[in-house]
Amino acid sequence: MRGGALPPGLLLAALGLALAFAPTRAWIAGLALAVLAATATMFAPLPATWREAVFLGGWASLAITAAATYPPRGLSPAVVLVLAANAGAWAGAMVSVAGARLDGVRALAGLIAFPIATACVQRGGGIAPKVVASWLIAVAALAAALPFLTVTPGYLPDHLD
Amino acid sequence: MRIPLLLAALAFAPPAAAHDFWVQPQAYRVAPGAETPLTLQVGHGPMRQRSQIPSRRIMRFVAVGPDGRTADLRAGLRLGEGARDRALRFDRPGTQVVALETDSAAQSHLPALRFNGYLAAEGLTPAIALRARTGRTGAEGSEAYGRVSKAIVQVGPGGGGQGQVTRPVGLTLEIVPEVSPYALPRPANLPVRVIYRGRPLAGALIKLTDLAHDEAPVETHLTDTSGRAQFAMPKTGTWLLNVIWTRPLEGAETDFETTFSSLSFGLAVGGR
Amino acid sequence: MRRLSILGGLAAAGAATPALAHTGTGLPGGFVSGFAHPLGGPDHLLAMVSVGLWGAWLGRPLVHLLPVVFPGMMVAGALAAMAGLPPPPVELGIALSVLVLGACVAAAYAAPTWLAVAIVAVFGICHGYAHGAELPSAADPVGYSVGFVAATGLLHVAGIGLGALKDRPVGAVATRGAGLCVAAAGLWFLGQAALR
Repeated sequence: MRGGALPPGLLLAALGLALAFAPTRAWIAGLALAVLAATATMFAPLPATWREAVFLGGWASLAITAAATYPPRGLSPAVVLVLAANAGAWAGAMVSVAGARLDGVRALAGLIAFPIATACVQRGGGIAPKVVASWLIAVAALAAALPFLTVTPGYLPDHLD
Repeated sequence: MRIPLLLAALAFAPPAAAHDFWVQPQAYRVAPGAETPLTLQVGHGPMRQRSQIPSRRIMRFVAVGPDGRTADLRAGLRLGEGARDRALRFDRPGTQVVALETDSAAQSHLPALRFNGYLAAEGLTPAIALRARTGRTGAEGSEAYGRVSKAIVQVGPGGGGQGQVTRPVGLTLEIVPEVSPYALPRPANLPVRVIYRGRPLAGALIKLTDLAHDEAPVETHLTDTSGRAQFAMPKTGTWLLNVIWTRPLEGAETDFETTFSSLSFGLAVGGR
Repeated sequence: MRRLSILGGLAAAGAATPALAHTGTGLPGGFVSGFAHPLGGPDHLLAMVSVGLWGAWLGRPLVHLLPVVFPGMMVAGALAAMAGLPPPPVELGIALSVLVLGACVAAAYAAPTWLAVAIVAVFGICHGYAHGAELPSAADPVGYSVGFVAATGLLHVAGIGLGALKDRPVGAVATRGAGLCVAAAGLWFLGQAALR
């Protein structure tokens, strides 16, 4: 399985974690912009040859978005909007090149991280989303490395020549 | 680490992970002078598809007729063009053995677990043992591989000489029926021999698959010390026998050289 | 279900041969296989719980830092395996991780931050190498990655939860006793690994 809802879902989860450290006034705009960007790229007719590049961009975006939980002073509204648009765009693009339209809807479930992370931050437990963000960065690193392997990865069939 | 990985491979050996290749005429029974399209197929179940093999890799593509004459079929090959790779047409009645052989230029590189699972699923036990002896069970596995394939086509009414079916045509790894499935009356069993580089091959896993339901084989056997195995003769439908064998390479780009061999035929109801 | 029952059987057998925790995924591997992987071997499981347990004893910042360091270095080990780099002594390293981490908990060893991070990082690489050897075979490698990283993280959290008992009456003795049992298991795993 190369696509499905999981990759974009992880990216939206990272955005949810990052938004928990953003100013309250940026939440709605950030979420809306992410959904709009995701919808735009999800319906864009991206060529299948772009698949690997899109996924590489998606994993980089996942790492960057998750890392956005770490700045000690939080995120400015402008940064939030850029992050949200970026995350949404790459999430939609991953669905476009390797998923079904329904995967885009399923990926929205990743945004459940936002209310959970917000509750942690507001109760003084902001460390928890940061720890989870580190795990997402770890997953992004692993997933990004797969196409560079010299062996046939498990989602590709073997012996077809 | 070696034993647990082997156990893991045996426990989780993926079914039909290595993709078989065969020559498939649209019809295995044709009238003299009639054309039947032919395609080269690879994979089973949801992975089944027309082979994308380039024509430069086809080393031999012939038809052996009842008179023993061999016709070269490479000229009419149009791989990947249109709905067929070639059209077969035989003017004289009799049983034709269509045989194809490729070079071994294809390569496969699989991670250890998947490679061990493939070796286990395809019965390549000498390769498993070799990797264990050399401490490479945990290492990725690489192969250069080639394909050989035969299809038995009946032109006109059945019966007649079947010697070309029960004789080897000289492929690297060949499944040779000891009785022709097109013989009349139809035999109850289908004994076969497996020949590798001119010698009987013992311990090879042969699978019989119904091409209409090819997710998994219906019968499998290991060849005995004389390279023989016996299957129940199917009643009807299109069928595929396949076997895979590999040999280690020294000082080469890959660890092994593997040959995928198949034999396909079609049976009508009533033993015709 | 068959896969899980096989995994369960292999996990049970893993008590005798810790390396059987590396049951792999085969082609159908995904989230469940990845999640089950650390759980399927007592050596993996004990080491990861012990990271959280020791972090709880060490307090801030290590209680938060160790659950970041271990998965992160585990990924480094996995990448090394995927890249085909020469393996570290993985089985010995994993067995040693159980012994050392259990001993650190038993002794309530207040290691300096740099040392605790270094210990956990080195062992994370060994554990990660074992996971990474199987990752490329997974049909759903992203799911597999999420699975084993999530399981690892949750085991750390479970260890932290257990470690919170240290502040209760007899809790300190109980958790250090648990550490002693983990260390004893690690000694046994080490013997098994050395014999092989």
